[in-house]
This record gives sequence, structure tokens and C-alpha cells, in this order.
Amino acid sequence: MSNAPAYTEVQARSYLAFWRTPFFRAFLSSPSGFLALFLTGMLLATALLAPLVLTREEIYQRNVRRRLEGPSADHVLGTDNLGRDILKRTLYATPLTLQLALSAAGMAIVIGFAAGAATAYLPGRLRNMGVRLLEIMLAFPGILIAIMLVAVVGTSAEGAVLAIGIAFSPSLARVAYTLASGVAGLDYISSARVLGLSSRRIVFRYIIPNIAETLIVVSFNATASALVAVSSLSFLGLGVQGTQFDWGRLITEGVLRLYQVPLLALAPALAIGITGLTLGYLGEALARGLNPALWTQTAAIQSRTWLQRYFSSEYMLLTGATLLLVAFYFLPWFSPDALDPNRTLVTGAKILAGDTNLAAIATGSQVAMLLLRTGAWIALLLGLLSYFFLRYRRFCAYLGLICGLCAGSYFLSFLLADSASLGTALASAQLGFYLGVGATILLILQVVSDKSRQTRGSPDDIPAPSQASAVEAPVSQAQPLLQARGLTVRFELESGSISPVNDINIDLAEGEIVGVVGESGSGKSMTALALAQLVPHPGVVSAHYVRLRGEDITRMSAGQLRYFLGSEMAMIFQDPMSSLNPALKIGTQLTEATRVHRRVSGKALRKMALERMADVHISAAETRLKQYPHEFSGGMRQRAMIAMGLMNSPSLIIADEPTTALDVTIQAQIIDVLREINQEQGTTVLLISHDVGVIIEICSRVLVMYAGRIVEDVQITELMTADKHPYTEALIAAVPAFDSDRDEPLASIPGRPPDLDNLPSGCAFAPRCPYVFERCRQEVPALLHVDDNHRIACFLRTEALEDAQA
Amino acid sequence: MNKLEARDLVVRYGQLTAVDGVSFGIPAGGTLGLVGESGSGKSTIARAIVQLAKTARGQILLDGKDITYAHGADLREIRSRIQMIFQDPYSSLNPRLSVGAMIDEVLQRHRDLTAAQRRQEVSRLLEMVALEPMFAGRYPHQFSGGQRQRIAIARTLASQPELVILDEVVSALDVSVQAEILNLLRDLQREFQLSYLFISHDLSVVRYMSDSVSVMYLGQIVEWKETEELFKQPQHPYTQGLIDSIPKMIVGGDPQRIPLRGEIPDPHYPPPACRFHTRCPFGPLAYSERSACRERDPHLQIDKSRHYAACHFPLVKKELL
Amino acid sequence: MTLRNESNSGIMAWLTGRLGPWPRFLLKRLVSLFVVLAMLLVLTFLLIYLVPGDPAVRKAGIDASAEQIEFERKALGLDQPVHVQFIRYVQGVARLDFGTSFITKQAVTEILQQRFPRTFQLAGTGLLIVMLVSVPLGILVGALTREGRNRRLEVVFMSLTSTTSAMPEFLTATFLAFIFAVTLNWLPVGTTQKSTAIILPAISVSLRPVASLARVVRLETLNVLAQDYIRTARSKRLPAYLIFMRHLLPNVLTAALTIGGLVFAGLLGGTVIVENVFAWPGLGQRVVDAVFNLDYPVIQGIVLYFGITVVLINTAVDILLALVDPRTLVLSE
Repeated sequence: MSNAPAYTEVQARSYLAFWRTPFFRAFLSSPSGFLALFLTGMLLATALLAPLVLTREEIYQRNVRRRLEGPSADHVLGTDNLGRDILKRTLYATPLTLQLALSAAGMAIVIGFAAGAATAYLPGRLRNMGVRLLEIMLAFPGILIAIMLVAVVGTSAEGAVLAIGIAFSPSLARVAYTLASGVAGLDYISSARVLGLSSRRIVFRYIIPNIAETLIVVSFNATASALVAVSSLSFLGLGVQGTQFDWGRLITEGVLRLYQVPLLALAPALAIGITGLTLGYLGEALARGLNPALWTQTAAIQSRTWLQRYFSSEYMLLTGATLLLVAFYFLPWFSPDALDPNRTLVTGAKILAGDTNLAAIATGSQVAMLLLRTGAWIALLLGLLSYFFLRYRRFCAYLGLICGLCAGSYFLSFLLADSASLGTALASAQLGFYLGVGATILLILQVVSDKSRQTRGSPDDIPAPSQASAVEAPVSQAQPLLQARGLTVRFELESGSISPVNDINIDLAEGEIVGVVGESGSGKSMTALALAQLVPHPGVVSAHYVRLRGEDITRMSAGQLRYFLGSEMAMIFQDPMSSLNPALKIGTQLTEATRVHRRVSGKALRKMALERMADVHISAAETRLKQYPHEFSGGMRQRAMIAMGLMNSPSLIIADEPTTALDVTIQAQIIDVLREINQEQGTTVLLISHDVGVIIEICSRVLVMYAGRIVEDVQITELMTADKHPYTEALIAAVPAFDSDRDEPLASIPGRPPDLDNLPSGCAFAPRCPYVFERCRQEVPALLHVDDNHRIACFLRTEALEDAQA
Repeated sequence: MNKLEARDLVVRYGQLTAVDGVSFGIPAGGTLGLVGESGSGKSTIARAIVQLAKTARGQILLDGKDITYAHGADLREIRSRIQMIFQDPYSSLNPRLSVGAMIDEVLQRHRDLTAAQRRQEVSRLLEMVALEPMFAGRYPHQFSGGQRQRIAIARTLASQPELVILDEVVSALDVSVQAEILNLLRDLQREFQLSYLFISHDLSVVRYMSDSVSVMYLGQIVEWKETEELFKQPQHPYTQGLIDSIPKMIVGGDPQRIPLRGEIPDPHYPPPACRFHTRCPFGPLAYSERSACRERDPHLQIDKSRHYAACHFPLVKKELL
Repeated sequence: MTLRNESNSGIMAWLTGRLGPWPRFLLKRLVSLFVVLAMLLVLTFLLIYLVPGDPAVRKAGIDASAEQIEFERKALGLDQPVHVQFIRYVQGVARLDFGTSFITKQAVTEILQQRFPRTFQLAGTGLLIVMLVSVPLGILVGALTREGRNRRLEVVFMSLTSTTSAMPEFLTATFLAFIFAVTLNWLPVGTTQKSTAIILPAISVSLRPVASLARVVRLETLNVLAQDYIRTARSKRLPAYLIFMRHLLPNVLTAALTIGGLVFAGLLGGTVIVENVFAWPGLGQRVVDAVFNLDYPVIQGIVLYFGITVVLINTAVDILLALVDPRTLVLSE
């Protein structure tokens, strides 16, 4: 017995902690989660309370004198052809409709998932047949299959559920099959099997958690579809029979009298729409809750409270828009003066101010309606004003908030209007409104503080690249082909701005092969893209100048740039399969740029293409040109890429990891091709690679990059002998050489490359450098000449020179 | 005695014979390197040993005991003794399990420990691979590639294996991280007397890790030798070609190297007789009198129990040719 | 079963081994077309046995005498063994003879010929709207929101399409009818002969597919734009129209076409509902009546008509796909 209090304590704590569980945090990480929670609560409350609160009498009692009335205080949405309250009937139909939809969806999900998973584990041929069968079944419209099935099982609510459950299962089976067969081949499933884990554990800890997200989203969407389908059948008269009614059946009645009382059809139709949205949001939010990537991410980003995040998100627009839609859809039918802002505003304001006289003559639901109108009008006016004049998105959020609170208070007062006293209704409505006002003030304060923070760190102030570097003499003695000064690439991200390429200078002489080497994340590929003006959004390239053949490409118009770079520069990328368009013939891809830039066509163009194919040693070029990329082997594709680059006889080829995706024997062949082209056609090559061996083999000079900067620029001949940057040294040492002692441990570089959004002050390599001293941690070393052909950015190597100069 | 031995192993995927009559042995406490281009069947061998792929023919022996078709309790025991680490550290860890949980479940399965002991063991294993014990609560996506590979290693060690299959474990990593992982693997091998089957396409890494090396081509082992010997004096032209293809840190490239022609043929339709004759720089393409390569399978003429090169005209000395 | 299957595939392999890629592809499509049609025939035939109650009683009427029922049973051929019935049924279908309706005593063929064109007209117009609206819309929004540009537009697009695709056809139809026919009185509803009468039903039936297809097209556009070969095309400095027309559009269209068949099937299903809202004189109303009264010659006829249409459209889509994208020929093997 003594354990009992402790037990409840634990329970209480875990109950409290639920709101702080990673699942729930991730669930609420997007406003749609909040919305889902709210809407689901409303829906469940309605489904549970409606049969208890509303009496059968209210629902079925005919009152022919008051038939087909518009909205009034007694009947908020008006009455149907037998004088019954439309809103009450719609609410009353909620539990039955949900029950039918959920059972149909549940059936479809159980049958579908079981069949799909079973198909995935069938042996080869049977599986193919199963998949084929699924595809055939999928091709037929689900609702039509359901109608046929209703014919078989009989027209009744149960029949409709059964028919839809069966008709919808193929699409779910297909999803389950795809997921199950996709997951089975994954590495972590293989490793779980190798680890000897039991099948049960693999299924419950490895497979299900990893497909749960998709299954949940799909299941909830299927439930929404089942709701629509059940309603459709009922609408057609093939579902719910007798005196029972669901939303679909209510719509049937309504459509007949659409001209007289539109709300008769619109109210249940809207109920279906809202429920469908709720299911969609709920599925998404649940799936988010199950994603561990969001558990930690939200914890990290959530230095602000979730409420603040909620309001700052753009998705609030959606919430606002939806609620506004709901509110305004009902407005016109309430009374003719509903759209008169003067009257509504004045009356509403009076009630809110606590004018009990007005309240005394009005009923609870009238008060509520007035409040709704008032709130909606204020929201609309403020929202539009702020959106168009201030262009600030948070005001849209505010708009949604007010609408939501008004709708909520309205709903509450409606529920209380008949049973409880008018005072309670009024009080609750006022409470809702003032809460809204309070939240609005908070919001405005936050917006203002955010704005002031923003002006301090405007995104435009990209620091100008340092002037000192611009005046440096070019490295190479030969005619410079390419000169880039102060090349910088900057990305503005939510978490701050980063510079993958930071103020670098590059000189390429005519006919050189220059390598760029560095670890992943060092900015070498981004440098290539920056030179080619192909940096992806939202990256911004800035530079003092980038001169190719003496012409500054940073100052060219888009048209000039296209023509100039189109003929002077070519690029080769890492993966030749994905870099070639799979739907176009090699010939087309090879020739299209020449056709555009040089206006060559016909035989001359074909002859050129054949020559280039010969340059890269592709035999049977005639037939090859007519083939598609999938008919080429990996090495052949990369050759074709190179041939494509050569078509316009460019002066510069930028090759971004051209051999990384290839086997070593093919890598050697491609390197030979590049070298040949360089020697025979004098084309300059900028070769980006993570492989020091490749660089040494083919390049005459190498640029070593670390954390977005060039730390060394050295001739290959000096690379193995001269004093180098410590990073270069470490990089070379880490490669297992062919003549190294196998008993010695490999040299490695301790630590990890720095995150670009958190660079250390001073030299970026300092935290990993074995020779680090005080100055390294405070100043960023400049890239300086240690001799004519050798530049290093390291105090260890340059300090002596600086002293000598001083 | 060999820790693991494969005899005349054949593995098929439908019509494709991915591994075609392969034999090798992994010495206890030693490392066998398995090297070859993509599509040579080296990963399939790994998968066959751990029964992720079905062996069509042949035998796999662990400590002399046939485990080719082991199942039930036998298989479970073997699972704890033979472990495998995969190439891609991003996809081989279950994203839904915390690091601690994924090591813990292996301990639960294979070791008889109390919960408290297991918690201690998780910390110890993480420390062993140079990770902080407090990382146990984190999820895979919070780690870098090298760290993930360390986690995979820690998880593997949890079952106290005798043989670990390393399938391209460093191919996805940067060179500096690669060095760290290789050093770690060698330290662990010494400490726990582990046997390794080290699979890689990178000859220089294989050389560093292995005691002996098997070179694969189109589902067959074409040469099998002590590491030093293989690199000094390769006998099979394909081995020579592979070695030549590797950048040697020689400025301007190795002038003596003899490049291989073409690419690996479609494994669905391997060339008859010697499978390498379509690319061999010393075969019938270069020397018309060497028609034997087109007619007879060199594999049939060798004794598979010792080190060999499957070639009718093995290279004697480079200078002679 | 397995054995026959094996020999069957052996013959197929033998046949296909001797043909070029195109004839091989067409042959395979043709074979699967016939398999599906055969399945359809068997299923519709079985409907008689699955539907509860005695068809003869149903046809003769509830208060019919035993002789009358026996007469109807003979007339329907229900006294014959099953396989004879099936052969008769297939022969009937081949002659386009589905029997007569139990209720209206009208020939089913006649009903179908009167009404199916109207349904097809509705679904066809719907498909036209879907393709003409969703493909350009999806591509445009995709191009504008690539690489995370224009977040605001993306949010608006996503919320609009998700709301629309959650709206059932009869809801859209009711709303549209209310706004345009009842309130504004711009467009006619129902059985009028005016050519504008198709506008509202066609929009109602196509709104949901427009939204879902536009989302698919946008995703596919984003996907294609993120491909390496688009970067290659940009690195070749091709003018925007070439990148768009030659590198983007075919790949996006392939995706749109792939689900085009499914979209059409969905549209056919949607017509049943929409026809009932707008009193459109297609098969929609008849199918509901037929199911309600278990008038299964009519049900059989309608199912067959719908089924054959869907199968033919899907085959056409497959062939079109192969024309647009040469990889399909290889991948289908």
C-alpha cells in the first residue's frame, strides 16, 4: 500500500510531461497541428454531445407552419421542409456520419494494408501477378465499384460501409505494398537482420516506425475519402435508409430545395468539408509527431515558446483564411443587415462594452451573432489594412486569431443560449473577445520588437570583400585566362547567413590544369558554380570582378552572359547518369548548345559532333548519337558529357568531381581523356576533386580549400617537397599511400571541419592544427606569397616573411 | 585454421549469377581484403555469408562448421559471431531509434546482462569507439558521417563478434575521417582478435587493412595473394590494371602504367572462357596467339586451396612484357 | 497453375525475343488488355450470382405466377449449366446485346447508346479542363516556387488545392449551382438543351482532379527542376524556352500522363454524383436506379461500358507514354 502515493505521483508527472513530450512538441510544431487539435476537439465534442443534448423530439418533430424558414433567432440556420431546425439536424447527424466513415475507412485500411503487406512477401511470380491485379483494380473508379458492390450487398448503411471498405482497399493495398517492399531492401533492415534481432522486433521497431508516418497520412486521407464516399452513396439514396439520416442524406433533401433554402444543403455540405479538413490536418500533425528529426529540431529551434512560433508561421495565413471562409459563408443568411458594417459594429461594440439594456432585449444567440459579425468585420478591416499597407504577414495571423475566437465564443454562447442564463452566454462571449484583444496586443508588441531587430541586421549588408586582396598580383606568369577577385557566395538562411565561399581570388592561366581540393563542405563545388554563375537559390554571388578572357562576367547582361559563357565555358558534373537528360537522344543534347550559340546546323553540326565523339574515344559515334543515355555505360556517359562540353571549343572546362561516381579503371580513362584534351586543344581545366591522388596525377597547380577559403595555392611539383599549409600536409598524409608502412597508423586530422554558421574567430583550421599558436585564434591569415608560385594562408609560414618586409 | 572459409560459392539473383564459384579463407584474427569494380559481386559475397542473399551452391564454414543454410538457434548464434558493417552510415542506422536503444537491443538479444549492466555496457562501447557516453540519448540524424560509422561499429561490437564483414565502410567518408575509422578498426582488431573481411573498391585502403587480398572480376576471384606480394608482383593482368589505375601521388601520373580498355561487361552475359579476355591488355586482343583465353576457363586449372592467379599467361615480371 | 503460367511465359518470351522493342511493347499491352477485358466479363457475369434473390422472380414481378417465373427463367437462360450461360453472355456482349431492363423493359443497349455519350461528353470535357488547367498551373507555380522561392505563393497554392481536393463532387456541385445558377442566375442547371448547360457539371466534376493533379504537376516540376540535367542545360546556357520546352516539359508531361488514366477513371466516377445533382441525362441516374431496383442487365451493361472505356483509355495512355518517353519501352520489361 505504501507504494500507492508514489504511483499516482508518477502518473501525474507523466501526465503533465505529456505536453512536453517530443511527440507533442513536434505535433504542434506547425500551426496546422494546433488547428487539428482544435477541430478534432470540436468534432468529437459534437459527436458525443449532440445525441445527449438534442432530444429526438427536436430532431424529428414536424412543424409545418415554420417550414423552409431562413435563419432566425429560434432556428439559427433556418428550417427544412418539415419545419425542423437545420443546424440541429446537421449536428445530430454527426455521430452517425462519423461512425459510418470510420468503419468504412477502418475496413479499407485493414483489408488494404493486410493485402498489400502480404503481396510484398509473396514469391516472385505470384507477387508480380498480385501487383498487376492491384493496378487493374486501381484503374476503376472507386465510387463506381462501391455502387456495384452496394447492388450485391444491398442498399443499407451497413451495405454502404461494406462496399466502400472493399472498394477503397486496393489503393491502400498499393501504398502498403510499395512501402513494405521499399523498406525491406533498406540497409538498416539488413543490418538489423545481421545483428540477429528477432523478426518481431524488426517489424515493430524497424519497419512499422519507419513507415508509420506515411501510413498515418494515407489512412487519414482514406478516412476523409471514405467520408465523402459514404456521403455520396447516401446522397444517391444508396446508403442510410429509413428514418436515419447522415450528412449525405441531408444534402439530398437540401439539393431539392436549393432555390428556397440554400442552407439546407450547404450546412451538411460544410460539415463534410470541415471534417475532411480536420482529418487531413490531424493526419499530418500525427505524422509530424512521429518524426524524430522534428523532436530534436523543434527542441533546438524552440528557444522561443511554441505559441510565438505558432503566430510567426506563414501557415497562419491558411488558418485565418479557412476560419474567415467559415465565418463569412454563414453571414449573409443571418439577416439582411448582416453586411451593414455600421449597424453591426455599433451594436456589437455596445454589447461588448457591457450595455445590459441591449442584452436584455436580445436572446443569447442574437448576441452571439452580433459578436460574430462584429469580430469578423473588425478582423477583416484590420487584416486587409495591415496586409496591404504594412505587408506584414503576422497581421494575417492576427486575423485568423480573432476570427477563431469570435467563432469559438459564438459557438459557446449558442450552446448555452437555451439552457443556461443569458448572462453566462454574454460573459463567455465577452471573455472570448477580450482574450482575442489581449492576444492581439501581445502580437503587435512582438511584431514591433521583431521589426526593430530586423532593421539592425538587414540582409543587404553583405560585407564588401576586402580591398587588400584585390590588388594582389596574379600568380601565374602566363596570359591569364580567368581572374576572379573577392569571389564570395552567401546564403541567407533562417538560422543566419553563411558563406560557403568567402572572399577568394583565383587566377587561371591559358592551358593550365588547376585542381581544387578539400573536404566536403569546404566550398570547392560552390566555387565552381559561382564562377559559372549557377549558384542555386537563395545563394548570392558577389565579386570585385570575374574576368574571363579579359571580360568581366559579373557586369554582363543575362543575354551577353548566355552567349559568352555558352561558348567560352563548359561544365562537367559528378554523376553522368543524372546529368544527362534521360528523355533526349545523346545527339540532341550534344548539339543543342552549338545550334543556339553558333547557329550551326545540319551536316556541319553533325560532323562537329562526330569529331568531338572521336576526341573522347567513343567508337561507332554515328549510332551512339542516336541512342539515349540509358543505353550508355557509366564511363561512356561521362565521355559524352565531355564531348558535349567540347562542342563550342570552350577556353575553360570546369569539371566538378568528374570521376567520383566512376570505378577506378574508368576514372583512369577519364583522367586520360581530360589530359589529352588539355594537351591537344589547349583547353584550360579547373578540376574539382576530393581525391588528392587524382589532382596530383593530372594537375599542374592545386588550390586547397578549407571552410570557404583558399588556404594554399601551390604548383604540383612543389606539393610534395615545399613547406606547406598544415591542412594540406594533413590532407596528403591521410591518404594511404602505396609505399607506406602498413603497420603504422594512418595520419588523420583530429576534430571535424567547422560549421559554416559557427566559424571560429581567426584561422578556421586553428582548432584542428597541431602547430596552432595564439595569433591563429585571433586573426584570419591572408593568402600571401611565400615564393613566386606559392601562396599560403598560414601565420606559421608567412609570419617570417611579414617580419622581413616590416 | 581459418575463421571462415568459403568453398565454391555460387549466388544467383534470378537469371544473374552474381557470384560464380568463389573460394577463399579468412584467417583467425586476420583480414582478407576483397577488391573489385562495381558489379564484380564482392558485396554479394558479404550478403551471402550473413544470409542476406541465398547461396545457390557451395559451402560456408565457420571454424570448420558448415553454416551455409543454418537456421533457428544456430543462425542466432552465428548472428552474434559474424557481424557486418555497411557502406552508407546514413542508411544503415534506423532513424527511429536512439543510439543507446539500438546498442541496447543487440545486448538484450545476444548477451545475458541486467538492465543496469547493459546501460554500463552501452557507455563502455561508445567510449571504445571514441564517442561520448552521453550521445546514447541522441538520434542518428544528429551525427556526422564519421560519427555514424563509429556508432555502427559500436553496435557491431555489442554482440562480441569474432568475424566482422566491412562492406565499403569508408567509401562514403572524407579522407581524413576515413583514416580515423581505419585506425579505429585496426585497433579494435588487435584488441579483440577480430577477423575481418574487408570489402572495398579502393586498392590503397585494402592494402593498408588486409593480410591477404582477393581480386574479383565478374563474380569470380581472379587472384588471391598475400598483400605485399600482390602489390609487388601481381600475376593477373586485371590486378595489374587495377593497381595501375590508382593515382599514385606521382606528378603527371605513372608513365609505366598500362591502362585497361573498356568497361566491365554486363554481368548477365559474361564473356566465355576467361571473363577478362575482352579487356585484357596482355590477352588475345594484343597477342593473337593467345587464343586459349577465348577457349578455356583458367579457373578450372587451378588448385583453389592455395594462393593463385586465374590466368593462362600470368605476368612474370613487368619489364618482360 | 504454376506450370501453365510457366509455359505461357515461355511462349511470351519466345515471341518477344524475336520482336523489336515496339512490336514487343504493343504485343504485351494487347495481351494485358485482353486479360483485363476477360476479367471484366467474368466479374460482370458473376454479378447475377452475387446479387441476392432470384433474377427470374425479379423480372417477372413479385406477384407473378410460378409459370411466369419459370418462363422468365427459361428466357434468361438460367436453366442452362453455368458455362453455357457464360458463353451465351459473352456472345451477347459481342453482339452488343446486354438484354432488356427488368424495370423499363427497354433494351440495355438502347439505354447505353442514348446515355453513355452524354456521360462521356461530361467526363471528356472534365478531362480537358483538368489537363488544360492543372498542367500549366502546376508548372507555373512549380517554376515560381522552385528552390524555396515565393514561400507565400506556395502556402496559398497548397492551402487552396488541399481545400479543393477535400471537397466532394456533390459539395462543389451544390455550391456552384447555388452561386451561379440560383443566386447569380448566370448559368443554367439541368436538362436544358442549351450548350452552356455542360459548364457547371463539367467544372464540378473536374475541380477535385484539377487540384490534385496541379499538386502532382507542381511537385514533378520541382523534382525535374532540381535534377542534374537541368543544371547541365543551364551550364550550356540554353535560352529559357529551350530549357523549358525541351528539358522540363516532356519530363513533367510524362508524370501528368501517367496519372492521366487514373484521373479519367476518377472523372467517370464523379459523373455519377454530379449527374444526379444537375439532372444531367447520362448514365449516372440510371445506374443508381438500376442498383436500387437490382436491375442487373442494366448494371452489367453500365459496368462493362465504364470498364472498357477505362481500360482503353489506360492502354492509350501507356502507348502515348512510350511515344513520349523512350525509357518506358525498356522499363516495361
